[in-house]
Amino acid sequence: MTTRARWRAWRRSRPFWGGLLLVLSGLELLALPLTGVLVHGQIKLVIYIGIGGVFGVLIGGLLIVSGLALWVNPAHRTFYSIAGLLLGLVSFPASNLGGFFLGMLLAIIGGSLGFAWAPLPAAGTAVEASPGPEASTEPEAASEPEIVPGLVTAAGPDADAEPEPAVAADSAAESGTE
Amino acid sequence: MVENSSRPTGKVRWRRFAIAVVPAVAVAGTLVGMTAKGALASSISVSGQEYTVSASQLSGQGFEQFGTWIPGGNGGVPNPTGGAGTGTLVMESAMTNADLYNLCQQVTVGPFTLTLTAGSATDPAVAQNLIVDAASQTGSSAVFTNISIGNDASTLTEDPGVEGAAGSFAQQADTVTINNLVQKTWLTTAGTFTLPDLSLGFGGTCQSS
Repeated sequence: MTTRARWRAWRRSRPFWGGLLLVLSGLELLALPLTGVLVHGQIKLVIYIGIGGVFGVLIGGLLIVSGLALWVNPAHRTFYSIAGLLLGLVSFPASNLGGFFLGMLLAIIGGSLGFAWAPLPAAGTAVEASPGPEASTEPEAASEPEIVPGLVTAAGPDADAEPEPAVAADSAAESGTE
Repeated sequence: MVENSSRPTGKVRWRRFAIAVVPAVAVAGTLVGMTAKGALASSISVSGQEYTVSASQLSGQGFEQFGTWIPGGNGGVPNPTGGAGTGTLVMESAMTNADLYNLCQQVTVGPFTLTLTAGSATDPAVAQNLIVDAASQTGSSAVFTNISIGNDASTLTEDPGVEGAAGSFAQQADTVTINNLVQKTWLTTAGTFTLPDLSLGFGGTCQSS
């Protein structure tokens, strides 16, 4: 297997883009207060920066960690991606308006991508824990147990989700995803 | 079958993406809205590049000012404490509380110039524990109350927690009002910064009226 093919396989077997965006957002949030330090290696500036800069450094560092953790440990992607998402939101009041919006947007998109990533079922085996009826490739047998427990009669399969996401999710489903 | 490595073993499910991103964007919008109304304070800390801050009026309490040296910048001044590297001489101004009317701040991030404006002529942006390291600072007029000039920078008392190096010149005042402030700063930090009428855009210039 060539290096390129290995890289491709590695990339495709984990929430790569979600992790990448989280790492980038962390770097951006770090860069604003720390440019001087990174470029010139001076600790004095950090002492000047005080508590505001400390939050920026903390949030940026944690975002980078959560992005890397998404890569090395995709099994826990839900936790890492939600953590990244929340860190991005917290960065708005805590760190230069979320790195002047850019870092916050990267963290929201990256966290959501990581959250939305799911492994495909291994070829030839049954669909595992399909998220919704439309994702199921097996006809009745696989999807039936999920639909039965009262969800459909209440308000459709997304009854447990918040109203806003349900609406958007429906429109996303219309555009034909899987 | 195609060779296994070329098949993706996972993919993004866009329904789940929407379930995460829609509430997050809603929360982010609420945070932006609250900040723009002045209901939520932000923490600002920018350093490492020169940028312009202007305000039609700055009105501060607990004012201290002294010269100091920061690493980096384009000043090429050697480190006064004998360390490595060169830096820039700046004037550090510290205020426990500052009201900034018609605040405008321009930061260049990579290829973009961001222009941030906040505070109107009647509703100022309010900063607490503000520290500004400026390479130049101009104003059309300035009023100080109870100013004392020529203190040792290590003995300043107006803004507890901020002091300069022993032996360097400093001044402090109970209150300060500077009209038509324009400064080129290398570092701005404020523990809490309330930014009513916040707007952020690319390009443009600050109206240094």
